[in-house]
Amino acid sequence: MPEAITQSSALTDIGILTENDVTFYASDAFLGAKIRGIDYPRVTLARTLPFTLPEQYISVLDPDNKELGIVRALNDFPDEQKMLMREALRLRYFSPVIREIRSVKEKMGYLYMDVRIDGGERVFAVRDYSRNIRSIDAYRLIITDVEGNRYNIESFENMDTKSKRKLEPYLL
Amino acid sequence: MKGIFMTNHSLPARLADVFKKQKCDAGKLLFYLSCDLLEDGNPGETLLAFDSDTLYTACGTVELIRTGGAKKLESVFMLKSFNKQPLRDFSNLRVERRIATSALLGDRDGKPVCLAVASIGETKRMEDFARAYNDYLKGETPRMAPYKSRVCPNCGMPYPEEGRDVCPGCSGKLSITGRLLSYFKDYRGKVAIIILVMLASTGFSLVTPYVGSKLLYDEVLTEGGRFFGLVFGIVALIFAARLCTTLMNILYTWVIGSIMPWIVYDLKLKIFTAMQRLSVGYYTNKQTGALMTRVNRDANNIYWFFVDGVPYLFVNSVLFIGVGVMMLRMSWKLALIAIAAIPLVIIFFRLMWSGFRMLHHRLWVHDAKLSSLVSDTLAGQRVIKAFAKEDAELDRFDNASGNLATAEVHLGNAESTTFPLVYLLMFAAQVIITAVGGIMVLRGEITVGTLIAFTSYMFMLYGPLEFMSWVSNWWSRCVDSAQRVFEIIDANPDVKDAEHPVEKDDIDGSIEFDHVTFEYEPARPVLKEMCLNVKAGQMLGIVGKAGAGKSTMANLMARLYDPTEGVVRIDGVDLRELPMSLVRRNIGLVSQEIYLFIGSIADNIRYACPEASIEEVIAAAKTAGAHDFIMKLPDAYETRVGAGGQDLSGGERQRLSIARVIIQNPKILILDEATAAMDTETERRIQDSINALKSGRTTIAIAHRLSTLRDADYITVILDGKIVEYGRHDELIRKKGEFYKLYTIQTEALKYTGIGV
Repeated sequence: MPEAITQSSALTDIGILTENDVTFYASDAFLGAKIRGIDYPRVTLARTLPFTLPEQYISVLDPDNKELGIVRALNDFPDEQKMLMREALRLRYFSPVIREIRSVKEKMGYLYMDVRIDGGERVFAVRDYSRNIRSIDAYRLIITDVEGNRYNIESFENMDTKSKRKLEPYLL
Repeated sequence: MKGIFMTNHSLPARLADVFKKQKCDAGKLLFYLSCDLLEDGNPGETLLAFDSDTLYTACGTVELIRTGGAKKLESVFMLKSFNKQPLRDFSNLRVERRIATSALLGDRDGKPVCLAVASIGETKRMEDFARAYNDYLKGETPRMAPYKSRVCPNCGMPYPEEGRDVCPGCSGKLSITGRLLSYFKDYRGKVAIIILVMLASTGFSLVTPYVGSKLLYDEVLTEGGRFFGLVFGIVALIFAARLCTTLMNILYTWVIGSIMPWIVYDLKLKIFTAMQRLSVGYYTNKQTGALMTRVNRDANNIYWFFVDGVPYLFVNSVLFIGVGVMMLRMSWKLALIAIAAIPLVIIFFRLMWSGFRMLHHRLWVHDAKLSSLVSDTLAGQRVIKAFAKEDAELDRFDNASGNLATAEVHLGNAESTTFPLVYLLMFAAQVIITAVGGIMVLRGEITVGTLIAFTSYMFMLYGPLEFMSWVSNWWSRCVDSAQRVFEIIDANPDVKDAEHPVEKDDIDGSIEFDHVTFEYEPARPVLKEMCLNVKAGQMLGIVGKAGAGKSTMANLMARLYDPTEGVVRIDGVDLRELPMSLVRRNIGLVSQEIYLFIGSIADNIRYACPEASIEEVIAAAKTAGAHDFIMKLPDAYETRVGAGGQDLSGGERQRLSIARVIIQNPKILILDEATAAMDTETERRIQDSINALKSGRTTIAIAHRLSTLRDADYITVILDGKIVEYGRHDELIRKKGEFYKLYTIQTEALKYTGIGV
């Protein structure tokens, strides 16, 4: 295991921001942050590992996408700020969750899907499905359609049998 | 001068003869070259040879002469001219490639002279001769690669594949098949079951016509028969026999199906293990794509041959013999007629198949041409549109497509006429047998039942016959595949661990090249007796023109290849004596081609240390300047890269590659043009970060761009496989040598674009 990395200060300084270094606040429907005395009225939160560690190692970016620091864990922060951060992440990473798959038709290499999501229905086309239906771990799937829209399936196993059977032939 | 030797085989008899007749000593010759043409390009033989002071040229033709009244013609070498010239008269020997020939040129009194001409296939040997000659004149050790025969010693045919000394015509089919069969060793029991079941199945199918025809007609339906009237009984028996055959078939197919995949699994595992063990040199010789296809397709060929081919062959052979026996038992006269027809049928089938093979091949060729045309035009749309050549491409397509359609028509025609004719032939044979048999029945020689059974047996013969006529091809293909597979399994890695490697836990990182010579191909050295010393913790910059040998040095340091001569030492120990795991762990190589595995960016960075924490990964990415572009991707560190994943630019991939090696944290870091695809600003930033990690690490940086080497402690300039300059940056500038030349060219170029240095 590499030891020199932890010894060299130039390397370990990845810009961690602890709860003492930064305070988040709500600012006109955006998220603002005060980092070591400097005020940033608008910051963006970006996940480094969106699937495996959704609430850890969050990068804090300024409006020009310059990184201001990395927050180790949401849980390090008091509840109020945690909620603000969660909401900011939710807005940024929002994608609809598929609750039920009504039909999947394959025509000439494209998949035409008709699904039910929270709050409605969607019909979309998926191209190159071996690439655009991606399984994150044993349960989750992300489907990207031809327009770039993303759809989540949180737990494929827990879906109803009909939905599973419709999609199964196209999973790799 | 050490080691002057004649590396090619000794002068062939006819040429040694010439020397003797001219009263010259062939024993003193150092090298010779035999060209298959005369100087004027006509067929003949030109011999060039030299000893320590003379260049000999002998030209002659080969003629067929009837010697001394003998009936046969003998080929004799007729000498036309013999020249002796002082060695020093000629210098700077070189080879000029023409269209189908090559010429050996030399300079005499400053003017070029043609010394010999040969077919282009001999070019390499000409080049070797030229190099040996030039080296000898310079006073260096001349070396010539040993003469390697490109012809199979057994049958005299040339080896079809470059680099592979295998003659497909002479390969021992039986020995390879034997070796394949050895994979079935562990399944002996199941194989025995399979054989028994197949025999039983064949037995039952042989019984069916006997019961269904002979017994039925003669004993059940005829008055006075043994089982007269027992129709239901006989029908039940017929059905039972058929049922047993089917059950046996199912059984043996099932058992084969249960063992073959595991045998192929075994084979594939051995292949993959062997491939992992092999050194880098093996992979550079053969394209990876060809290897992949080879492993897959060959394993499949072997699989199908054993699953389909072998059982079918076995069953059909037994059936054939069984049917023959039954026929002979029933009526030897009819049997003889049937047997007489067999050779005709076999010949006919063979002709048919070879004819079809031609038509199929032609079809395949046109199909392939059309496919490649389509993929070509689709890929080149930009160019086609730029030159407004759509109509021309359409014509090309029309033509190719038309050819394909025509070929298909031909094949279809052949098939629609041939198969019915074949069946007609078989029917004719049956008719003849029926006629002869009918007469025999009327004469009372055989019974009706016998005749009908006989006809059924005849039909059972045709299947096996047809199969036999093409199983041989199938077998050949399987053997060919097995041979390729065994080649990989048998290949010996060039670079392997010593028997008793030196025990060492850690290394400091000093590198030494002790008169290292290296050649990728025999007698073409890339590095020549190179001596170099790098102290642990230093940074060495290596510059040189393309092809000078810089990447080769990196490969030798990382022990991807072993030196041909000389020693590479780490911490004073021969690299070959150190355990490979220690070496690989402590040497990090960032090369120009970056391979990203299929997986997330984080996985790729962590490749050397899968247990690295996310903080270490981010830290490494930041040092390598990769963090920013990674965070711009929606899935950040979990973005899928590698084949079929996110496409990254050259610079981005280089940065990931650097992050990868930072996590590895090796004692020796080799950067081979590691920042070539980046702009100078990004490069500068990355270099600064890497510099922060410099202490305690030996860094070797190879570059074209001198700005890359700004932080090097020492710089060395490589030219033509040798070190021509070595020293500190300022020293070399003051010297005004090679390095200074490169430096001024690059700064001049920058000045020209208006950038001050």
